[in-house]
Amino acid sequence: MKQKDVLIKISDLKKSFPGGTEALKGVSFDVYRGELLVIVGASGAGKSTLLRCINGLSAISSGSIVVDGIEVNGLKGKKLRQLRTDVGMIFQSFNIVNRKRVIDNALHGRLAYYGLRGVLGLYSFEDKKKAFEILARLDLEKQVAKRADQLSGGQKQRVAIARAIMQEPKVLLADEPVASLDPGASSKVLGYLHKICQEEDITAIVSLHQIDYARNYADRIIGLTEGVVTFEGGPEDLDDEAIQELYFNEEEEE
Amino acid sequence: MKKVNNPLNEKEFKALISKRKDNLFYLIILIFMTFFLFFSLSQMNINPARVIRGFSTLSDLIKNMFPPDFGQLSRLWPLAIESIQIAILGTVLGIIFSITLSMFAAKNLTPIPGLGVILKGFFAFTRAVPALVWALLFITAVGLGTLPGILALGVNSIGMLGKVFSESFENINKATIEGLNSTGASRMQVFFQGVVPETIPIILSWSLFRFDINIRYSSILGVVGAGGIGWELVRASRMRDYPALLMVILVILVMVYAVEQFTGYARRVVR
Repeated sequence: MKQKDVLIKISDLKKSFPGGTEALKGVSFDVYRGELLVIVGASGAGKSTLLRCINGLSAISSGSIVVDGIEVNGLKGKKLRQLRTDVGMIFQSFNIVNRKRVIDNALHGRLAYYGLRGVLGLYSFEDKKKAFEILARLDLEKQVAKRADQLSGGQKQRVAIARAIMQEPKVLLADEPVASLDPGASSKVLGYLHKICQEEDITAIVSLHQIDYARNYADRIIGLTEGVVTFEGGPEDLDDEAIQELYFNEEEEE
Repeated sequence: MKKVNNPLNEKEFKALISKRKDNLFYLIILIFMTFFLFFSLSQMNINPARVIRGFSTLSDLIKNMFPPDFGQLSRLWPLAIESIQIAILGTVLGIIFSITLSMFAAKNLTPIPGLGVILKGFFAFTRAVPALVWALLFITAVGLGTLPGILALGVNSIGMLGKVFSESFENINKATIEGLNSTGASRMQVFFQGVVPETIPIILSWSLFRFDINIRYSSILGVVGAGGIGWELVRASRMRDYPALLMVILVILVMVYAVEQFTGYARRVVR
């Protein structure tokens, strides 16, 4: 059995946006080293905001997020960039550089390890070899020299995974990684994500709105409803009643 | 037929579609402009007789120009090359400064919000002052020759390229920048590895277009003494050597046309 070693501790996290929208209303939970935690919830429940707070893409309003002993709240400049190298992220819309080749996009994950050489895109041979190796493990070896805009959505998301893995992160955040993919590509991408995180021993937090995917891949599931944690448990605990609560309660309120 | 329920009565409807108000506005402008035209003509002492006299002189001038003095060619082509060199160096100088400054001028990239406004004002200023005026200023600063020409074209280019580059950086997909930020990349790295590659077609096509403009400027910069073939224009007309003057004009024509063909082709290649 896995040892329960806390890697991320989130306590009473609140986030409101200018204009008064309260996206997160006091969220607390722990993330254990090596697990794949899935966050489920309807759109607008605060899943994206939660993930974006963990790597400082969104500043939190109050509370605390501690990633491997480092408080994220208030990090700036070099320290924030250091945190971000430890926390890889994958986005719904891939967010890779479309006009660069696949291998260049994977190598972008190494940028933080370079200074001016990174500005010019001069990577070491070892890093290039490593990028190729990771892309090959994601079955993209035939695509390495293609420009990213020539790829399908599923392939682009795999390139984004490769970029994140190249960072050698402790944690991988995936914000609705398959929401803009068709079902076939979705399960493929999630399969790759699951496999590579296990092989590299990376802790992953994945937000999803499809319950079946969550059940298939999650070690643990957290449910968010309107900025509040309303479910916490293993995939087997997410029964119909729990799903009902997560997805349909708020609709009745409307 | 579908029945249309018109909630307006006939009078209201006519008022709605009537353009009379606009017409009156344009009429006032037209009257004002006509008045201004005749005022200018009389005040500047421009009358038809003078224009007609000018035509006859001009036809004499053109008759005297033929045949063009091809003997000048061996002396003129190195100067034409010099004009092209001035245009190339001026454009390159402009591109380098424009890209660098645009990194600080674009709203989404600048580290200091106020800096963008200041830089955009600077771009507008370098754009508003004509290239020939910049050349005169730089001649005072660094003396006659090709250097003031290069500097003048460089500075004048910043105005235009800085504006379009910073605007294209502002229009870049926010997600691309966020993706690179999430890897922990620095500002400079995000800019050169993400923003520049995504906007390279825009950067290239505007740079080529600017080169087109600069070649026209560089052919006449010599008129004020900033290098290139332009000085020959002044020399030939002062000496009333009209066949030579025609030759200079022909060389400029060929030079500008050739460059235009090249940049047109290159712009199609970069899309």
